[in-house]
Amino acid sequence: MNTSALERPRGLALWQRQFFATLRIEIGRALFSRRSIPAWLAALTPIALSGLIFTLSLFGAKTEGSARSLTMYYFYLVLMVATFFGTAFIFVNLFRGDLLDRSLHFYFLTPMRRGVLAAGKFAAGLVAGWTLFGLSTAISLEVSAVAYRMGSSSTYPGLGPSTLVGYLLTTVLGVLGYGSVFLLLGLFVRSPLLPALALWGWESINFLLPPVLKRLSVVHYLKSIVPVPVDDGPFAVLSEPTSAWLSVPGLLLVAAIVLFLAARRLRGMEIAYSSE
Amino acid sequence: MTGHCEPTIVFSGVSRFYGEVLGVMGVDLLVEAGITSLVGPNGSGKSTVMNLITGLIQPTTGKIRVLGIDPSDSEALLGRVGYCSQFDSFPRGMTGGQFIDAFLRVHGFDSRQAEELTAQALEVVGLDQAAARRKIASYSKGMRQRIKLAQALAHRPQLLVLDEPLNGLDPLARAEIIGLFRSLAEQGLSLVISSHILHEVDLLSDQVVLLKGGRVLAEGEITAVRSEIREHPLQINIRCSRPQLLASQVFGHDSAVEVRLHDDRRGLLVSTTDAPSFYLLLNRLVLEHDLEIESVAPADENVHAVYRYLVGGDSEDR
Repeated sequence: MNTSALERPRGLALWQRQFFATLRIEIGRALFSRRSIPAWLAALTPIALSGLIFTLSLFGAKTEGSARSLTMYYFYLVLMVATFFGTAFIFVNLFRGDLLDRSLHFYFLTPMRRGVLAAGKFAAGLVAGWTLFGLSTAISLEVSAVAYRMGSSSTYPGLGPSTLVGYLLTTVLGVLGYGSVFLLLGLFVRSPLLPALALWGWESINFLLPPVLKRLSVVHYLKSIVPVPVDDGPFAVLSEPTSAWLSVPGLLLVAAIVLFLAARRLRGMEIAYSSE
Repeated sequence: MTGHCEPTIVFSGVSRFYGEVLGVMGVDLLVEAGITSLVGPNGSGKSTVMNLITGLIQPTTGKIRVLGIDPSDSEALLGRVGYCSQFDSFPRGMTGGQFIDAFLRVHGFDSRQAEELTAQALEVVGLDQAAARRKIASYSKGMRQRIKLAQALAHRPQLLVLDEPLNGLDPLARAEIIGLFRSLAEQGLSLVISSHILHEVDLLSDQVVLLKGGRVLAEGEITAVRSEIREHPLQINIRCSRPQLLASQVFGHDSAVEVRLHDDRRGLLVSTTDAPSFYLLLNRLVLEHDLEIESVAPADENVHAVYRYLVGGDSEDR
């Protein structure tokens, strides 16, 4: 190959090519490597549970439900457990996994801006998270809705397409919001498990928090997007929900800020290969 | 390609600390094109120097230029530099071919370029297509060394930095890889290599940099470095007819501090503090006594001896 054949594009065209090359590598690792097993398990858990409910309904068990019970199923199992922990596995591993594998240096040894690397990895995490938990949301809710409707005395009309889209949008934004936080944890914290559990605790007690503190959580904004409102129970501290028109751009803004911080962190990051 | 006058690598007063731990201290280096070996015991700062060259770490103080570029400008530098690290780790789940192809694309090459460069790099390091289709996790140590080398040179760098590239290779493979390094150098590529295998460093290097405790003890062509070590007289092996006669003639001369006959009585070992004078003396004696000389060669003008004199002791893996 002659020298001119080795020429690479410059500027934006180069960044674009490097972004998609990173995206390609990272989607493969986030979805189809051994590293992706915990995220797959998290995504399959709601599907398995809804499959169990459906199977019970086939045997005549009392499985009728309502739009309210479906939203609780979605919110507390699909979103707060499966999506939360699945997203944690995916996004923490984007950088922490590479540091543990000692393979991040291969990226650092290419003529690629660290910001492009951050964007490529983050986008790959989003694609993987949206794929896994989008499917998990759609399948588990559809199967549960069918099981609810099959209950002997059910009056539940089923899950309409617009409601399903609403849930999917909530999952998409949940992956974006939690993914942003976990990307930062993976970059700034050596052992992200405890902070991740602490965050889960914080998100779980959100309904007990005073209105000002509620706003310092992802779940507060997701609640305003869920198509059927979530009942926080009798002990909840009431507050005015943030409108979806603010929640969605707000989560996008958080993701943009996180990407900026991640790029800054990567620019200053050094890798030493030996202990000398 | 760098200009003829421009050194490949320049370190000016470079120090690097890891917290309070010294990496390297006050390093001034001038590495010319060709093959340069970094030699020193573990912890001497070889990997730190290599990481500084490739911009993976930044100096605490001092300045570095590599191919005329500040290594902190990774976008400008890393298209022209390849680094084969000592670390035996790879992205999981990839085959050898996928690994090289994927990171060539991250360099910015399109799919056709990446495919061609991958095939060429694999061929250069002697890995066939069957090996390229296998997962790296199933590779032997030698194959992993080769795939790392292929990855480092696949994008056609002008400077190749290689940290212990001969580790894990069998003698045949070592000879092949040394041949490859020579051929790359002949094609105009500059190589910086660290190795514990001193006789192979000798075979390879145009110049050496000796490090100990994070400091540069000596740098330059090995003969020049050796001549600077005045406390250890240069040893010269001479194979000749009538070595006893030559020994008796040499013995009283000022330039010879020690003369020993070889066990087989067909040569002698002379230690001298003034090699030029001794060579003149030798010429005169050969002519005067009509001696037949089979060979004259320095016995300790090599990396191994220089290492022993400057670093002390032997390297752990010769």
